[in-house]
Amino acid sequence: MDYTPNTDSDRESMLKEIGVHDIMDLFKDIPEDLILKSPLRIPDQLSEFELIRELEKISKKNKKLLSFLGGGNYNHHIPSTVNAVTSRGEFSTAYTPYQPEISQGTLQAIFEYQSMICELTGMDVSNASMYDGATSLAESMILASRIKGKKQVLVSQAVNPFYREVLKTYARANEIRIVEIDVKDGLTSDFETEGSSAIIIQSPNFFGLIENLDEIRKKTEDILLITSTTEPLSWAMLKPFSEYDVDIVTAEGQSFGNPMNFGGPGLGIIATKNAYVRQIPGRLAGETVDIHGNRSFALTLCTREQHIRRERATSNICTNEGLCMLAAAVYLVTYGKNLRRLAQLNNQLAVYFAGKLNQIEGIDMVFDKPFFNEFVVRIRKDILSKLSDIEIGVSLENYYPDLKDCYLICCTEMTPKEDIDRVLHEITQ
Amino acid sequence: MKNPVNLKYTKEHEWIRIDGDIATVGITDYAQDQLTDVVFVELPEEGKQIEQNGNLCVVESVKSVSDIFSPISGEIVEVNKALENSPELVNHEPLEGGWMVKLKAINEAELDQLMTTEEYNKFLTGIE
Amino acid sequence: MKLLNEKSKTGSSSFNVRLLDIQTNIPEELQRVDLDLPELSEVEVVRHYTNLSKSNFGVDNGPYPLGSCTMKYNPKINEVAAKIPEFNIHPLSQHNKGALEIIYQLQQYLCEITGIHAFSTQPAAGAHGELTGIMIMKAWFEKRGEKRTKVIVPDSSHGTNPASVSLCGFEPVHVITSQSGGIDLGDLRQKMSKDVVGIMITNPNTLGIFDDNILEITKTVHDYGGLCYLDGANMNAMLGVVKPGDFGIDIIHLNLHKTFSTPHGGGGPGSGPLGVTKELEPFLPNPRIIKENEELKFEQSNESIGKVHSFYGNFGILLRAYSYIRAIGTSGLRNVAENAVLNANYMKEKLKGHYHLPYDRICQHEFVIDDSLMPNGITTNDIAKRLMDFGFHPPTIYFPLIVKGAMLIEPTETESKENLDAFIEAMKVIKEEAEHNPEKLTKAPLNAPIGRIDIVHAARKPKLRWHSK
Repeated sequence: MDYTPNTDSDRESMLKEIGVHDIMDLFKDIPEDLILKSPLRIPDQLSEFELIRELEKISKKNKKLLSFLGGGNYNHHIPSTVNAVTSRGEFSTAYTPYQPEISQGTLQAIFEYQSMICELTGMDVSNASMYDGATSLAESMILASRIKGKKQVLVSQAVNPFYREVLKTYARANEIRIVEIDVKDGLTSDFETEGSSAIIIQSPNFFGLIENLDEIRKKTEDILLITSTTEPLSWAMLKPFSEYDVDIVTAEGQSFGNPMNFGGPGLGIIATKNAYVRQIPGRLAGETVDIHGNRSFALTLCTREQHIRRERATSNICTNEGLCMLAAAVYLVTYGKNLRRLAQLNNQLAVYFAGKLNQIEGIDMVFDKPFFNEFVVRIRKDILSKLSDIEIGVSLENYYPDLKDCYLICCTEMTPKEDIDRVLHEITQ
Repeated sequence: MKNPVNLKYTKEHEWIRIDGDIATVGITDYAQDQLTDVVFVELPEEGKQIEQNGNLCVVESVKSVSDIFSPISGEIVEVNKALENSPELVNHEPLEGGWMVKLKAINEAELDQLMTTEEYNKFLTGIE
Repeated sequence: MKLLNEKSKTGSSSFNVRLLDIQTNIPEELQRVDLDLPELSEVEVVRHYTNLSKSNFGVDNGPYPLGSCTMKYNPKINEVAAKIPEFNIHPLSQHNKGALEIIYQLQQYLCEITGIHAFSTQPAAGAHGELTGIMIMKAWFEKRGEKRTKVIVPDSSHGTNPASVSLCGFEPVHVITSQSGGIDLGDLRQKMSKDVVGIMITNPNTLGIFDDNILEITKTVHDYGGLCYLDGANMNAMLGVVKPGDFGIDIIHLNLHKTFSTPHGGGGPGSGPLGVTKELEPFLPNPRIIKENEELKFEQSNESIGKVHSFYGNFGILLRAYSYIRAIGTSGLRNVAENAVLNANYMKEKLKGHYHLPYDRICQHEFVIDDSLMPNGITTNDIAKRLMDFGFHPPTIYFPLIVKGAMLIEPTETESKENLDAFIEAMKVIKEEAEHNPEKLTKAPLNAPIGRIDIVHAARKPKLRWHSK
């Protein structure tokens, strides 16, 4: 394939107009020794059908099994409306809406997304998305230490271990000290706030459990409370974070209308209180008017951003996850209030599976606490060997050595009761 | 020229007016015109001590961010809270309603280093 | 157009979910009372967004010569590739060999294209790649026990460069641009010291000029032990023609959503793979995807800066870029660079005489004109708005910052001569209008979905979400 429409005669006449003879005359600023003398060692062109054949062949090296994997990435149904909208070239092939007069579609969609995230979280302000859940959280950590002026943050060990690794990477670059808080019975245990800017809690946490944010907030009046969520579908069922006076809410939004995609792209969600609106990283769409007085939308408060404030910007982020954000918006409005029922169904399936597993000899629930759609069980090795054609869950012992033989199991509407019963049958037979 | 005679000026286009032991600071008409529409003024905390040429506040237009420096040293006694909701005052009335900060305990000797109206007007002609 | 919330009607959503007869384990006090998301019927949802899309402009609508953004055509085959069901697997699945093969092969291709030793595909965007690169610089000097604090950044650089530098606790030091449009060597030499971590170069730079002193620049930095970072946003002009690894680059990020044709999506998602030399390879983000005894696998390095993404980066974008490279192949890559450079030079020559060219010399994939010759106070912004009426997306405006009233024009290789001629013609008409009918420009756009927008109002009274009255 080739996507360059100039014909040989076009090229010739253009070179003449420019006043050069050879295309290489246009590369004369490059030191001659550097010009490549031989073609790149990359295979030559393919036709569309050859390419698809090749890709399908590679794709078959993956294997899709019945899977109960979660832990930061979730297999949810994507309503047919989502693809219908995101595959429109007017959305997908547009740049960042810096020219609002011909970007009202993107801008209004951002504004509506921001509104829906504010509704779900109860927060005042949401941006137009970050890279992913982990980097949203890392940027919040930096934001908090800038606001509070202390280069130390508390991080619960019940925060997703991959996210904690990303936090460490960003903390090292920013010379921020991370103090990890132990987990007790699956929940964040005691801590001291002195010397810290913020505390980072995930809820539902990595074990699927709902953290006691009321208690945590009472102990953290002097520092910022930052939350992380990897399964924001839980928000449709749980009390919004604003009711616990959370300062910064972050999440991975992949669950909302984006495929698993081997871990990306999804979208980073970040929402805060009004007080921090000028500190928030990334883009914001705001309402305004055009010269005729018509309501319209534009990117706003841009002086926070790198293209204006350069080294003093609140973040270096430029490209975000726009199209994934659009998918999330379409997803949320397609479900509307029924999102709560979807959340309830996810929870019911998990409660059902957990209850049945707990009755089986050799399988134990590890934590006896309310969870949303993920839970931890310890499975005896001989039972596990019966499940070779099922991905039963995320093995936890790599991340938590004392959780040997423990698995994080996730249920969604894509693991219906029949599938769960099949697994139970395979275990008990 | 809109520049009244009872003010003194800096090369960074700030003005300062002395009333008794209080000095009021803002930016000149020329400065507001260069900045274009001001959309936000980040004001300092009251009670803060500021050095001459120290960072007094930050003025933002839609596409730029500019530091405003203190013409003299002193203690910030009052900031113009009206700018929080009406930053456009800086454009519309740069020398009156658009003032930014009042200082006390000022170092009057530093005033001598600033330009008079006549000098500032001449300075502007040099820029243009 | 009405907002979703204004169209919402209670009970109108039909996207139902059947519940099971199972009691929840979540106590009532932890549950929310209501969920006030808008409710629309499915047909209204689809119409809402279809109508919104009509007030949007993408590459699929028309030419998009947005400088330094490489808004080339996004081949539709990429989208087909990205939707092959077997690629949609969980990141922690053990049955992932297909996905690993795509990532590994893409890494290999990027190494060959850039002449750089090793790539990580974890960064999710160009600025994310920059940040990762600066983190690696930091780790490199930490390991050597050297305390360096400054990173050199040309005054023509993308804003992400200095922002990435300060996000790592370093101080950006600016070098000026010379009369001819490259880095001022004298200024660079003066600012070099053993305190300098390295330099962030964009080459070809944001004036569209390939710096003919590039070897001298990288040598100067290396002589002080510094590292040379290349912002690969402008890689399009170099494909198959020259390799950054050959001119002394130690670290580079690429923007797959620019050079490698993946769609910009109205702001993202992108992908910003990061490449480094052999010496720096151990510092790349964990986990790496490597081949050992013909087996693809994850590998962790003790010296790694750590993870920078929840999983392995934007796999969906990597897949599209892989598809693009395979589709056009080695001859297609070279063809991209040649046509991108040809188109830009053709446009530049034809606009010369009508618009001021601050750097009048051969350009690479893009070039800068400015508004200094415009009569009646017509500005770059007016020209940009008026271009919309002619069916073009405006160029990048007021960037690079070193040219007053800059218009940075990057036609890309996927525009035909006819489209270039139409753009040139529109620019000439606009110049005429500026003389004889300036109102047409100051009031532009006249035919866009909406009139010129008051961005000052948006910033003075920020309204960032819908509220019920």
